[in-house]
Amino acid sequence: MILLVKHINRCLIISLLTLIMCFPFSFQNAVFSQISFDHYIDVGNNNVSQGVYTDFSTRVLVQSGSNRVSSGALLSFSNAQKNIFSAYFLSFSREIYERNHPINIEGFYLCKPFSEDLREFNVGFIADYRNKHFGFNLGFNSRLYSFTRAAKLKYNIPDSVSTRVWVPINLMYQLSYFQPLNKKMLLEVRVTDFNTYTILQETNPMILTKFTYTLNDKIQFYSELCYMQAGLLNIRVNYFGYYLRGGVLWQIK
Amino acid sequence: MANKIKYFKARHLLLLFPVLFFFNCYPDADFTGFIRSTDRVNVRFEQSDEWNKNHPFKNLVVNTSDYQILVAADSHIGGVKNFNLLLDEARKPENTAFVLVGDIVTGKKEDYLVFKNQLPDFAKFPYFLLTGNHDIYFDGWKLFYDYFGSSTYYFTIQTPAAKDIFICLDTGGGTLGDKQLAWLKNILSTERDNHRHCFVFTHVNFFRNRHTGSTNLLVPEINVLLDLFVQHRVNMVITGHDHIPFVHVFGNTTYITLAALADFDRNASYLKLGINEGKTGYEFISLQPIK
Repeated sequence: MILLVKHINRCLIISLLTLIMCFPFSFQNAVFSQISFDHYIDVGNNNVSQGVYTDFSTRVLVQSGSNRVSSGALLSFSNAQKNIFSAYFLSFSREIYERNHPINIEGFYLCKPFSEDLREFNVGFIADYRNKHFGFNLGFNSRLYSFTRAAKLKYNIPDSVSTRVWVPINLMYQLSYFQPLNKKMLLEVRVTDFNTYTILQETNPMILTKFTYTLNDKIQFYSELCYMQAGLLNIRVNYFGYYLRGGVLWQIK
Repeated sequence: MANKIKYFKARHLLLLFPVLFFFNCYPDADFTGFIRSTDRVNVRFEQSDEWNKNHPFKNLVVNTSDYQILVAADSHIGGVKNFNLLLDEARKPENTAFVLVGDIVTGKKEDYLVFKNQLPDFAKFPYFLLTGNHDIYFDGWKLFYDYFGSSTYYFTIQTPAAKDIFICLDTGGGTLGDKQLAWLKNILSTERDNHRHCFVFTHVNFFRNRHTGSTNLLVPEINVLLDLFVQHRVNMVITGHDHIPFVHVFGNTTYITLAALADFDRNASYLKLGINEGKTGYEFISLQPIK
């Protein structure tokens, strides 16, 4: 329990420190107009998790005018992964208008220390357009796998040997359908190859349904159910995994 | 509004025709796999595991400290021109065995029979086969299993100086599945330290080098495997699937994606994998040089 609290504190501290460091860059209109906190818990299972896993994410979003900075961290608890602190995310986005349609352009950085020895880094950008019923996201990311310095020493890897693999470009996409159920409830169905801390290859889409309940103008609750498959474009679809997410988005105006 | 809905539905019906036409015109793919495969990776693994219980893992003995095996991918038989060139090379005395890392055939029975008839006598010349996605189209796994048995196993090569282990994995379904992954972890934990070098063969390549429709293992699965191969000092991971050769050195592990061996591939090649003075080495052998 103490370990969990320590890690949650670490998550929040990293997210807040990053935002403070980024403050001068996002500072446009003298004061932030809006700060939001997004927390969620995932419970899921997949082919590599060795049973049920639980993820806890905390994310801080700061909006100033049409600019937004977001930072988040992920804690993972599973039989398969020794690293509890398993992902860190930072993004900058700006809303622009193209023929009176708002389009959100986002650049992001994602670091995943997925084992004691290895890291996965991603950078990319993505554009997001949404109307009443449909949402479209399209972008690219570049992925780098790398050894940690400690792992290079541990495995006696000389400097002449490459300890990095770069996957230059990967398409990111998301197609969403929104169906308002009433003024407070929204249902969403999504096909995508990414979520906040996971970017799959372009040929591995996942299917997701999301239910959002708006309690008031400050608090939203949401739940998601995601199904991940393997082998779609090999025309050999197999189950890979699922997760169920419950979260809350809290806006401080 | 009603007219709009009718128009929308009519357009979708019209779209069905070219889709169905496309499905019928491409003969080597089983499009039922878009919805659900006719076989499941865990079921295939269980059958392979059962087969392994009755057929002990092979140990090849060579009298020299150096040896060489040939590895090829994506032969896509029907056509056997390139496969026969590989066999001619494989019969030379310096080669100990050959390995085909998936997409050996199209999955159709007639192609399985063509391939089976071309294969040499295992006692005279050992070979090792594993499935790719094409091999399991059209319920092809049943034929693979009937003719060749397991697709998840290992074999060893014993020299006077040391013993090397070669692990074959089934990624024809785009994932190892949880059971096969558990088996792999167990083999690496129990066997790796008893062997000098460790090689892993599987069909689906790990790193995407280009935009292509072929699917790789999911990122979370790749991450687990990368870590596993680092921990257990796997020397080489040899895959196919992409049809374009590529080599990634990642610490002490070299990830090799092979070119296709298929007759229709203009840049067909295979790999000579060798142990020389105790060290691992490889060489791509081109069958049809680029003109």
